Amino acid sequence: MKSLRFILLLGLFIALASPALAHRINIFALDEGGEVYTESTFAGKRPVKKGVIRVFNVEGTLVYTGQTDEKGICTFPRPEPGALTLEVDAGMGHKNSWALESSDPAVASNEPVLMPNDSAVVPPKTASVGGLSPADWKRMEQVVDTAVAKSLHQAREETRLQDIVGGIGYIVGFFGLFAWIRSRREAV
Amino acid sequence: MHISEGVLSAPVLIAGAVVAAGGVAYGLKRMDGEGTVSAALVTSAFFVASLIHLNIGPASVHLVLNGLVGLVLGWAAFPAIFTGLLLQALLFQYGGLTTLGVNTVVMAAPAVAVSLMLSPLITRKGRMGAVASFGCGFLAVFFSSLLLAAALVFTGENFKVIAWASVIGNAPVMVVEGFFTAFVVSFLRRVYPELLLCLTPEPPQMEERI
Repeated sequence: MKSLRFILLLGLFIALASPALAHRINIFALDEGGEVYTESTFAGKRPVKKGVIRVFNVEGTLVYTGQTDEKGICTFPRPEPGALTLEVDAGMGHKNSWALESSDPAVASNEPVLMPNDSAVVPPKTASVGGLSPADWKRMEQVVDTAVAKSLHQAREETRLQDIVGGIGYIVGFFGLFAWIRSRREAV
Repeated sequence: MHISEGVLSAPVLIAGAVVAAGGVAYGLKRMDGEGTVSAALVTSAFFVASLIHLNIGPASVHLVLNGLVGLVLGWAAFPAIFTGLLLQALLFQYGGLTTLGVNTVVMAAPAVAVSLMLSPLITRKGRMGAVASFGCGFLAVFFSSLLLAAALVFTGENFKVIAWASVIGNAPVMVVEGFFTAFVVSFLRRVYPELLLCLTPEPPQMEERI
């Protein structure tokens, strides 16, 4: 009976334990028109709950501190327009960072500067193309950029089978090389 | 167990790298021809183990297998774990290259310790052997979590607090690892006893054959 109680207690203990364990940690950040969106995950796309988000500017000064929510998300207004470094810290030596480019004021104020040669994609300054105003186009571009950046990031963070198989190949190769060098030395 | 880059200060990183280099050199020196084959095998298992996530309640843990590595390889656990961690850092972004030394010490030193402590008991038949192999897996992770706390202490965190957090946080891994190690050892004992016997001076297989 006592042992059963002990096991139950241990189970409860384990259930309450912090999930911030030995895992790789990722942070992904985007500037969505002045609002910075960050998403922090552990390997296997599990969110970093209650992780600390620290934002540093180019000089390395701390300009913002926040906390991720239950989904690992933390959004906040951009503290300054220059380039920023965002850092997520889940404790126990788990930390990673993401560099956010500066939101160039030239790009933000007049859209046609973006791609002056590509007249097919960028609409004329005033006329609406396909019923869309330049502001709509700009917003759409932002949305597409966001989606592409996010899915690219996710694809890169996934553990791929070829990495696993390749890693095992390296291991066999390393130890094979070691055995070969040693056998040559012994033979001489 | 994998400490990320940019967490530790330079003295800790350098100390870790020096100890790891010594361990790897000594481990390679002790590794013979047969040992190289088992080292490659066990390193592959260690390399893949970190990808296997188990969900226990809200906590998700992954296997470390350092107890098993130590049991099979003894001192060669250092080069094995170093190689495994190097590839995990390069291919999966687990840990980092600057923290490779510290991470190697955190996982390999307990592996060697449990193998020196418990390998004489492992080959015993029945309950004793099973308990010893469970202890091997359990204690290796336990010692690793203490070393992890020790490494993090120099970042300015309170040792007692961080050690408790580390031990409690890794408790599920210890239990899972203990059972897994016991299972693998009992399997190896039946199927591939040479892998375990390379550690023990007396071959109990001989008695059975006679």
